Amino acid sequence: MAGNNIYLNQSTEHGNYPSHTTNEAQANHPVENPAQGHGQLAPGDVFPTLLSNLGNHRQISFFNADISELPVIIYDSKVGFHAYSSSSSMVNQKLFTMHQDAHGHFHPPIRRAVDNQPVSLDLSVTSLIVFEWIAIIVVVFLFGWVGRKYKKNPTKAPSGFQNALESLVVYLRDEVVYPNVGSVKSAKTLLPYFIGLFCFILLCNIFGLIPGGHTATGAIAVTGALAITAYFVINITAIKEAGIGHWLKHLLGGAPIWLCWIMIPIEIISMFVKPFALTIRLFANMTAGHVVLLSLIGLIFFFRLSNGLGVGLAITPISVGFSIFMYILELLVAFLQAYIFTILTAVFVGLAIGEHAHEEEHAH
Amino acid sequence: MDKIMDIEPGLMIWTIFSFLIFLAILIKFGTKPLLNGLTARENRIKEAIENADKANEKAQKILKETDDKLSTAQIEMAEIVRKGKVQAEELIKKAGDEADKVKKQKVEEAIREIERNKEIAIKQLRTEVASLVVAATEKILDETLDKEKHYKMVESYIEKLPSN
Amino acid sequence: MDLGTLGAGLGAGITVLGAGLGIGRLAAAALEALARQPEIAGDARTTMIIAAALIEGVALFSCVICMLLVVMK
Repeated sequence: MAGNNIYLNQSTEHGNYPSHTTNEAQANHPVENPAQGHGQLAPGDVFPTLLSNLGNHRQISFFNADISELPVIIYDSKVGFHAYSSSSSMVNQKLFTMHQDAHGHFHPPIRRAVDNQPVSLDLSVTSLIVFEWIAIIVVVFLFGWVGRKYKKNPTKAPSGFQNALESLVVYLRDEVVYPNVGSVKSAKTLLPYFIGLFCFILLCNIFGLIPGGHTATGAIAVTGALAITAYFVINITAIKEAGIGHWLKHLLGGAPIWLCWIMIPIEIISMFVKPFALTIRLFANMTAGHVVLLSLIGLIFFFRLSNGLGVGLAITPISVGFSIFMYILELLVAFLQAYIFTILTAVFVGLAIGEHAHEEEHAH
Repeated sequence: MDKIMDIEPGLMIWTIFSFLIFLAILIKFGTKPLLNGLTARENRIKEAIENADKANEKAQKILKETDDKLSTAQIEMAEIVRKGKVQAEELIKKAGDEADKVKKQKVEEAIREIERNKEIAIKQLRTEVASLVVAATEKILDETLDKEKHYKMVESYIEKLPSN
Repeated sequence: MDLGTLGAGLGAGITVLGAGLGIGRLAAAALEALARQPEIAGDARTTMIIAAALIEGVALFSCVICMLLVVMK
């Protein structure tokens, strides 16, 4: 299959852009107008092209319409700190280069113009960050609005949207945080963190489901960042609650001291596996749903390109029906995964400080 | 597709940074007033329930007191009524007894009067009859008998008569 | 299609087999527990979701490995 070959070439030669410019130009974004015919797009290109929408982008676009390019911020050990208002202005300044495809879209990595090496740290604002910010603004706006209502008349009965948000907060407090964290003091301190975590993940997941949106939680970097904060929250709470000595003792996992050579590595691994599992779970759940959804939609174009217009039209109702089902399932998953990330973090916090409470119980 | 598995450090740093700032803003403007409001409302409701409980207890106490008072009053009232009834009955009985006594006395007096009158009448009648008989016998026999003998004879006859 | 892609696809399929079996057994056990003691519904649901998430997490690890096999070839 010719299409597959193009795709495989692209992936193997990725990172060496001058040699495969033509391939990438063909592989990325040619699906914008499937009616253009067989000359431009092979059937096998459909799926890679559709799935390329899932990643991080250097511009904001609504479907195929580019709205604006995003600022570029670069730190490099050799050239120093640089910021540009957009990718094109960065390329125009000639200090750095970035690959640009046939549609004018830029693709990382950014390289130094001097020696054509990737820069040390690319801190550019990308589409996923923009969607994170939108989610943050929505959550802060909603909570700020409701919070002001509480400030104005704290004892009045809630009304309207206040009710919905309040029931969410009360649910998180009474069903998720307090029973799983265990210690009331830590639970009280951490409750705002869990509320923020849940709302942030939920909003990111839901923005990915809005047509034209991007799923910030569908990138390992984002879920990894959340898991790193969770890791620090878990361990700092444990140290605060039990003291550093108990925390170190906890590394033994309650086994006798002569087993330390096996217990300490296991406990340290489990300490890191927990956030890693959180990362992969959220990322894979959000990505898998989108991959299936896009593949189902892609079937229409695949059959239209390989078997003609009639087959494409015939497959449409089946494809759309399944994708509606997938969409509803993804909506469920969006809520479920936000809930699971939150409750698992709470459980891990509870596990980390639970040992301490247990020991204290014995001491009494 | 291969981009999906990329881990971009820039994205990660931005996410941590944004998330921390987000948490700070959220706590300041969102959750703090919200949770404070929730606690304030919960406390208020708790207080209200406690107050209601207290008020209820008080009301129950007052109700019990009133009930007690009412029942004592009822008992007292019943007592008074009973006493009154007893007194009235006594009075009636007394009056009846008195009336009976007076009636009896009157009747007895009347009977005694009648008896006395009857005795007087009978005595008179006796004397009358005896003299009449004596006169008649004198005439019939035409002989003068010993007056004393005569009387005795008549008297014995009269004795034989029934008393009434 | 090369063997690597085939292997990744097969791996994903086998993973789904295991994860489906695991979560199915978990749900069955939770249902039985619920039928026996309906009053622990809340607790059982939370525990079930956590356990299901852990099983699913392991399954997703392997799915991600399969994906890496395809992508990083």
